[in-house]
Amino acid sequence: MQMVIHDLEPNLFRELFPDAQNIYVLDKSMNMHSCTGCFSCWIKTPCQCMFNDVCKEMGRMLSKCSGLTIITRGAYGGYSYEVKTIVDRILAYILPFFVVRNNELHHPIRYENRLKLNVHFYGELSAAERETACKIVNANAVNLDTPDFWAHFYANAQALKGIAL
Amino acid sequence: MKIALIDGSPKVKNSNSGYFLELLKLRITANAEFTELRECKLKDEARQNAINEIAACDVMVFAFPLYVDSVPGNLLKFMCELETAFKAMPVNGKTVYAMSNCGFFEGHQNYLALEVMRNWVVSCGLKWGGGIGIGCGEMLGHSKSMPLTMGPGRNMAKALKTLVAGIMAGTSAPDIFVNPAVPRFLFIFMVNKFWKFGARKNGLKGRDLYMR
Repeated sequence: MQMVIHDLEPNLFRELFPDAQNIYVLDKSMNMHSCTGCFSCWIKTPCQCMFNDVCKEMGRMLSKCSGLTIITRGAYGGYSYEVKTIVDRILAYILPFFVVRNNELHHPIRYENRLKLNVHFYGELSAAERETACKIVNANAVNLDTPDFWAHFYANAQALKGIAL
Repeated sequence: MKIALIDGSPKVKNSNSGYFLELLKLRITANAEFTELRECKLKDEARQNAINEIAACDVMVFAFPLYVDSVPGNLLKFMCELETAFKAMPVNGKTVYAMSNCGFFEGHQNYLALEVMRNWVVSCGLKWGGGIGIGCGEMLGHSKSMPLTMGPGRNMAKALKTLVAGIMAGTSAPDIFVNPAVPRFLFIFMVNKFWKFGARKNGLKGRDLYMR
C-alpha cells in the first residue's frame, strides 16, 4: 500500500496515473482541515485526530503503507500549501516523546513500518529553491526515521506521466 | 515606521507565536505604528483588508510554529496571496523578519522554515531582514510568569534584542538559532512528564499514549 499526497486537479491525476491502484490518495479536493496543534492525537485521543475528515486516521493509514509519495508544485523551496496542509496532519503517526537522531531530538515513530519517501516537485524552481527542497525532503526523512528518500524535479505537471507511485 | 506583526499559528488560542510577537513589540522603542494580525482568524473581506494593510507597511514580522520542518500550510497559503499583492505594486525597501518556533530542543531545526521565508521574500521582490529559530517554543510559552532574561528564555531575550535592533535600524542580519537555557536531559525529562500529565488530565494512563 502507498499513500499519495498531491495537489493536482483530480482529473489530471487520473489522466497521468490511470492504472494507479493499491494507494490511499489525499488531495486538495478533500478539503482537509489545517492542523491546529491541539495535540489531541497525542494526549486526548491518541493516534486519532479531533477533526472528522479523511485525515482523522492519518497515523493508522500511514502505518499500513510501505511508501509515501508526495507530488507537489514547488513553492519557495517547499511543498505547495495544498500539499503542506495535508502533510501537516501526520502528527498521529509519531509519538510525543523524544529520541536522539543525528545528535538532535526527534520523535519516535508510533508504528513498526518505515516509509519510503518519494517527493516529486514540478514547476519552475530557482537554484536556491531546489536546494531548499532537497534539504526539506532530507529533514522529513530524518523525522520519519527512514533512510529511503528521494527528491525529483520536473518542469511541469505533464512531465510526471509514467512515474512510479 | 509601519510594522505588521503577523501571527501565522493555526492555534485558535494560546499561540506561542503570538507571545513572541508581543515580546518583540514591547522591545521596539522607535516611533512605530503596528498592525497586528492573526492569520487563522482572517476570512473573506477581512483577509483582503489584512493583505492591503500589510502591503502598506514598511516592515513585516512573521511568527509561526515549525510544522514538518517548514512553514505551516495555512500560513503558506496566506504568503501566496501576499505574493500576488506584492507583485502588483512597488515594494522597494520593504523588509521581512521572521520567528519560527519548534517543540524540539534545538532552535537550529527551524533553519529550513527560515530558508522558505527567504525564498518567498526573493520571489516577492522584498528584502530579508533576518530571523530567529526558537527551540522549545512550547516551554517558553509556558514560562511567561518568569522574566525572559532570567529563566529558560534568556537566550531568546538576547536574540530578540538583536532582531529588534535590526528592525529599528532597517538592517539585515544573519539568522539566529536559540536553545532554551536548560540542559537538554532536563528538557527531555520535563517534556515527557508534561505529556503524561496532559494524558492524566484527559483520563488516560501513560501507556495509552502508545496506542496504535
